[in-house]
Amino acid sequence: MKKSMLSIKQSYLVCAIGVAVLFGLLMAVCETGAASLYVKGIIMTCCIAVIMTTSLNLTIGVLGQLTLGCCGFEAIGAYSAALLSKLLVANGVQMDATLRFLLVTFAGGVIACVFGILVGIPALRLHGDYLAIITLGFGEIIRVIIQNLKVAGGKGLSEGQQGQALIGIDRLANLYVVFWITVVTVVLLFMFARSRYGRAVKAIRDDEIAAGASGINITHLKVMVFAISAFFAGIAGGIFAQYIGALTPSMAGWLQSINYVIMVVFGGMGSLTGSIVAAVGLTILPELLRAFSEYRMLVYSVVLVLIMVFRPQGIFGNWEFSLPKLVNRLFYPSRVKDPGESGAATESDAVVGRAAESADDKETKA
Amino acid sequence: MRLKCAEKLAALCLSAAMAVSVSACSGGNMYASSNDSSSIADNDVITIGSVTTNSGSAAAYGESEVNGFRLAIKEINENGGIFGKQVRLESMDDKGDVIEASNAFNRLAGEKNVIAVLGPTISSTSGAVAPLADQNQMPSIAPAATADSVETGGYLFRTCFKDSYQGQIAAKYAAENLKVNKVAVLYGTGDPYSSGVGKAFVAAAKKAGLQVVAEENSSSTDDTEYSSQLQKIEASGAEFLYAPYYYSAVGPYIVPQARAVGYDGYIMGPDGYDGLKTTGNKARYDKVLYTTHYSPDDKSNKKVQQFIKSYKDANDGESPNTFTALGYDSVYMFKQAIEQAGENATRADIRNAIAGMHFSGVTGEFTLDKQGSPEEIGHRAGDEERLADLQRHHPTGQVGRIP
Repeated sequence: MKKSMLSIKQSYLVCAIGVAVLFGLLMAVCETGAASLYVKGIIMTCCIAVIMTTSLNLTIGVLGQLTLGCCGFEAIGAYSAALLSKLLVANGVQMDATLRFLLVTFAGGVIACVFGILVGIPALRLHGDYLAIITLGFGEIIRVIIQNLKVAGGKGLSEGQQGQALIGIDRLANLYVVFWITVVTVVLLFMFARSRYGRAVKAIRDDEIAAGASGINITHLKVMVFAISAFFAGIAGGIFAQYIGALTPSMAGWLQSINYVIMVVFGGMGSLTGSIVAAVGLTILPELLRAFSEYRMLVYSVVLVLIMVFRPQGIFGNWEFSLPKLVNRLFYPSRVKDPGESGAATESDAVVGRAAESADDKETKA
Repeated sequence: MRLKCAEKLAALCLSAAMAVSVSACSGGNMYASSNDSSSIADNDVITIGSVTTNSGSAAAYGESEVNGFRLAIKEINENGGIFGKQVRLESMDDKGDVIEASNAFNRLAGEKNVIAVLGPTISSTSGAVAPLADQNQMPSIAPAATADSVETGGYLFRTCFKDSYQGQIAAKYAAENLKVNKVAVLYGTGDPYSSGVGKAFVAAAKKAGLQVVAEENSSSTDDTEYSSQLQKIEASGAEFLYAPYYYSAVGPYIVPQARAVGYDGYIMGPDGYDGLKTTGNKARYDKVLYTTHYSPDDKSNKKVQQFIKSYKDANDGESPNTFTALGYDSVYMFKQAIEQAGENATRADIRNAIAGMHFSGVTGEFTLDKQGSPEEIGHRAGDEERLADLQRHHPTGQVGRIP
């Protein structure tokens, strides 16, 4: 690499600084009281949407398999985390609130991941429309099962009532912690997508037969991607449960899943940065449009239609935003032509930086 | 390979920032209540917010509620407002989505001049908003969130009665007014509302000494074929069928199919029957009854006729429905509470005035119980006396007939 360009190491640093600056911004608006509860709530919602969308993009964009059951996994994660949190309290386990939050959220992710493997093994023998239908059915099954579980309704556990919303979940979700969970999620997803496994997964997407002939274990990789996706959907569910404090089985329904699929397609299938921008943008858009009252969902739909008509590949298409590349372009314009492959983490951090930055900007304006 | 020092540095930066963030948890606490809201005396206009479902599948409910809010506020303003101040409505839509409802509620709570909130519309969004109302100390009235799981009594109250209460009044009505002995029940197991009300009915019917001869169910409330269940019910010799479904299933399917299999007894249901349209021979619907929050035929209540008249005048002759009536009453509940709390009332004062209030409006006359719902019956032991009392105080606990 030429001296005048950023080295890989410097790229990492640039991204780390990007994230740190972003976090500084977040802290600044929260600590000074510039951000009301409303704004904080929207940032929280954005974080949840970012985790859901980027993890779903791994299956839809990187693996190229359309699934409509992501909210099934989100619901599993949400209910597991909520019930586990209640279980810990019921058994008198004393622990720090943040620790409990992290523990049950992670557990929710693991349980969702287990279901991801169980569902993925038979389901991923199919592809295309058939897989979409089977995952859609899975989401509905989860919804109906939860609806009929006695422990998952009312106050939960032994005080549970069948067919009621689960209420009284401790609302432990802390904005800063959730921010870092989002950062870590995106970094991990990027590292996976850029790793040897990730390249193999992309090979499967582009030509399954050729990939298989080259010695790639297709079933193994497909299930792995499905499980990773499910894990992060479970994490997002755990955060959701501990932010909202009340859960209804309808969250597992296919309509909710479609929402996230829209975000993935909107941002560009295969582009994690695109997913982040779309998740943040489409979360904030309805809030910005509140002034239009009844017509806001109309405007929202029109925006979706326009983007799909004029940019069918999504906002970012396949392209990934990268902070180091931007720095290169700004400071070494003559050498930009061959910036080289910068590391996975680099890119991902930049991504987080950029997306959350735009989120913050919009929110402070709002 | 050499360890990349920049990578290490980056990791260090991130972990340091993370450590700071965790230690700063208390600072980032989202749920610290901001209790610096103003009192009524600080503003020239009294602003009441509303979070309702104006788009999505339950949009009709939210729209009806908002119509009720607007009518009540218009009347109040025409009659001089509250303490001489005009009332303004700040209406927000939640799409029937819990996250949207939370965001909208937070936004209203963050605006210092908003003194109270009407809504949310449906039970799931109300369940999510209940803890927010407590944290923000924002007095709220959900006009029509009937689910038992909605936690009321803190800062959130409701105008409608609970689901389980409807099953109880129906059982009581069957035993005392219709004087039947053998009852059957049919409900959708996949739907919390249907199964919740159905089970409450069974429990209350047994308590009232009725004989439950058949308990049938369908997997959802969207089914179109109920004949096999209805045949079993007919064969069991039931004189009364309790079928908690929505109007969309009862009108075109359940009633005609029940009559087709030869069942000619009573068919009763909860407020989901509101809006039911008859199909074919109208005589088939003669013995169809439902419990409702509000009945337009309530001739004994002058307010009802007055309300219907002014609503029709304002809306080109369109008739108000239950949701409009509940929304209308919710605004008057706030008016009464604010007047009771005084000219310097803060949010907390208004909440205290609502708790346990006695109210008389178009949906009847009732007292809010400790849980913030219109007084319920038969839920706890030793309530028999209250039960009789309630029937007197809550005329809308009475029964509507299919027009």
